[in-house]
Amino acid sequence: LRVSDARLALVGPSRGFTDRAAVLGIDAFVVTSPEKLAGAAPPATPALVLDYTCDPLFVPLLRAAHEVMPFRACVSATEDGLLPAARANEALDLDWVPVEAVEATRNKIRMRERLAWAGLSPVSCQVCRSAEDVAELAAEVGFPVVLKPPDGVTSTGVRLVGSLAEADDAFAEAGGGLLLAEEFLEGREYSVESFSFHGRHVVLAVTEKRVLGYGRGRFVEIGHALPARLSGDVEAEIRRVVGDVLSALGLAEGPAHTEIKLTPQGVRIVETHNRPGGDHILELVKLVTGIDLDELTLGWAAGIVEALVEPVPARGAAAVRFLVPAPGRVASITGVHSLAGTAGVVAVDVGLGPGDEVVEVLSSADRSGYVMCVGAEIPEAVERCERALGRIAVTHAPSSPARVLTAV
Amino acid sequence: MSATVLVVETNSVGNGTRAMRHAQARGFRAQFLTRTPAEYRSHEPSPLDVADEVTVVETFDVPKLMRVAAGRRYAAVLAFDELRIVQATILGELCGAPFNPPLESIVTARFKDLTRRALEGSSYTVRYAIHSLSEPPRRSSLGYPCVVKPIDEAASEGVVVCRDSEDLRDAVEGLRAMVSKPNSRGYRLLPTFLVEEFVEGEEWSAELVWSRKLQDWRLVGFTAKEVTPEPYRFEVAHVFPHSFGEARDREILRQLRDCLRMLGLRDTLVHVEFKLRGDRIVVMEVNPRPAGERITELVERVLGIDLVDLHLAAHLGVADEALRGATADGFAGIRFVRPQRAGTVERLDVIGDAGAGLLALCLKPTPVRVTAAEQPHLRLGHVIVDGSSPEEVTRRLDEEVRRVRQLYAVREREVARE
Repeated sequence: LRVSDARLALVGPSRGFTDRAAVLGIDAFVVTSPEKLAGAAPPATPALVLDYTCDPLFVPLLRAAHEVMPFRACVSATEDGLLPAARANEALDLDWVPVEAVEATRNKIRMRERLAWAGLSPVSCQVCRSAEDVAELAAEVGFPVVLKPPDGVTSTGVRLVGSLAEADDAFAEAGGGLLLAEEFLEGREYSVESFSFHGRHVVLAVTEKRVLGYGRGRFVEIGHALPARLSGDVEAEIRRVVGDVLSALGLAEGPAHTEIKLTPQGVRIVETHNRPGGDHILELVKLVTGIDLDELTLGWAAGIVEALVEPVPARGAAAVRFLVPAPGRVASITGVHSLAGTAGVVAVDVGLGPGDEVVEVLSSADRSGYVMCVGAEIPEAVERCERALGRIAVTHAPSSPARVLTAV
Repeated sequence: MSATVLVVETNSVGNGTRAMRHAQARGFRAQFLTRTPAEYRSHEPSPLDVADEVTVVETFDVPKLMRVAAGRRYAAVLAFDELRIVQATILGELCGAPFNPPLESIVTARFKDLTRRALEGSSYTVRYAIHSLSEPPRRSSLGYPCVVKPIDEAASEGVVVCRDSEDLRDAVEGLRAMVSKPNSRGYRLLPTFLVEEFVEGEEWSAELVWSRKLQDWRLVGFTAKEVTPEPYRFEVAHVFPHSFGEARDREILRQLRDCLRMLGLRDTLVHVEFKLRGDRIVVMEVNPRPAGERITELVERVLGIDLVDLHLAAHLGVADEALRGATADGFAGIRFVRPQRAGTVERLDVIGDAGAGLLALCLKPTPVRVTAAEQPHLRLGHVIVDGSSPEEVTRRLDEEVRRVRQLYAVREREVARE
């Protein structure tokens, strides 16, 4: 391909995503909303500025642009851009991820439906309008059950409920509407980064996930580490199941982030998305495999990189652990700066200062920062994260009990 | 009146009931002790019908059991689950059972920390540390991976392989939840647990019986087992007999005898679970009773010997006679049908024709409710096959289990109600 043929429409990109396209020699046409424009692209970049999630002019205007400067595909790496990008591809007859596949990954009800039809990853579930509906499922699978908003992301609104009263609370919190109730899957959690090349799925990394205890019935991720410690058989099973699931959902191109549980009955799918994982997993993958998933996405969509034949072997391990102090007003925070240059510490970001209020962690947004470390293997990387977090001392204002806090 | 054999409860596959039948066939009366007769309502045949005498007594309470047995003489006292084996041995001692195994050795085998202590210093054990839930360790002093296990639970429940200190903390919390209430059989676990070195590799079991003639253990056979992947290791299939090669079989038997001597066991039948580290065995646990998991049925098919009867014979001092003439004929295996998910299994359909070698394909009557909590342990049935080689048996087991279709109530499709 000539470089001038490598043109992509980027829907809702971050500035980093747009810049990476430029580095790869890809002509980017940016679609972004007015409020995101400044953070999406350098000033001279051709752009269509509107609310791409709902503006009816999105597709007609993009079509007009496409006639002048044809795109190979419309690509998005952000949650709210995935579906608009797919709709645009369909309207412009471009070969990327179809709308149906995106909808099947975004809507958990549809995903379960498709997997059930394909006979994959059996999980008992029921669409519920009220706690009474939840009771019906619980009569079969027992409490606790998991309640999920059908189209939620980042575990937001996902609750583990142990009784009808808790189910009632969950519906009250959800403010009406449907919730998907599922059997609680026992087992360790992992996420799987894969990339699909014309329907051939290559698993690039399996990441161990650590979730904050289920004490308050919430699922908040407080750590990731890779490459996951798995036996060859189990890893092969994960690759097989994830590949089958992506095929069943019709996802044949680009990145996917699939969350799974390794239950005593085998691999079960929690959810999947047609984008790389968030929560710094992208950086962890790059640290360990050298693969930049954003670059691979852009390069493959633009037709300027070769398909990977097989996974890239991991070099060492990497982990991220999030800072989760107890609630209270922060009086002081020390130790953050001393971490620079510490062996194995790759990145530290603590968004907490004196006077800030630490709230109880009920979602990812409530976490107070993170430490990312590398090591020869996961235990070393995790140990380094824990040690680094242990050096961050948060003291509380007198109104709350003064204590030194570390990550859970 | 003829002499009496006393049986304390029975396990879910009815070994206690079979023991009473065998005792009666050998001319003994059979007495059955149970804390909850209602527990056996679904057993066919019911131990309550088979026994010549049934006594209801709290079988976890030793003084009450002793009160029931005081003043009586028994030819043998047997139990078939870990939770009652010590009680049975105490009653055997109290009531003059002539070939009762030594009580201390039974206690040693019953509690995994005592087993580890008894084998300490030998190559047959692993490095271990004993901990209390009141003061759990933050890190494993043995490194990782390590294994956390309760000292007094059966069937690998609560046994977790930990990869790091975070896993260890999770495992301890899991144990804390298990200890907080009685288990499904009404037994409350001790708040003590082991952290053990993890031994890589497959696990086997061995059935051995005490020979009064040899004054040593005779090997009935080795069994190969298949387990689910780490970290759960639930048993899913067994094939009997397994051979490591003639010379190696002899060497493993020598080491097993050495171990059992160290534990002080005799006059019973044992089911030993072990792994191999190079050419040395590493003992996982020793159970002075016939194997569970229907391995008894595999042994019966291959050797024509019922391990339950052999257990009884060992306790009556006549195991040598019971073993006479037993020669292996082929191989047999069992694979369990496990639920694919939680929910109500409305139907279990068997499709296609039975393959060669099928001996049993038993499925639970439907509907079967499978809760998420029970799902890992619950079995919907099993298949037993035989064959001329272990490979043939394994292939036949896979083929037979694949014929079973699990049809659940509409819970997966109900998503379409949206």
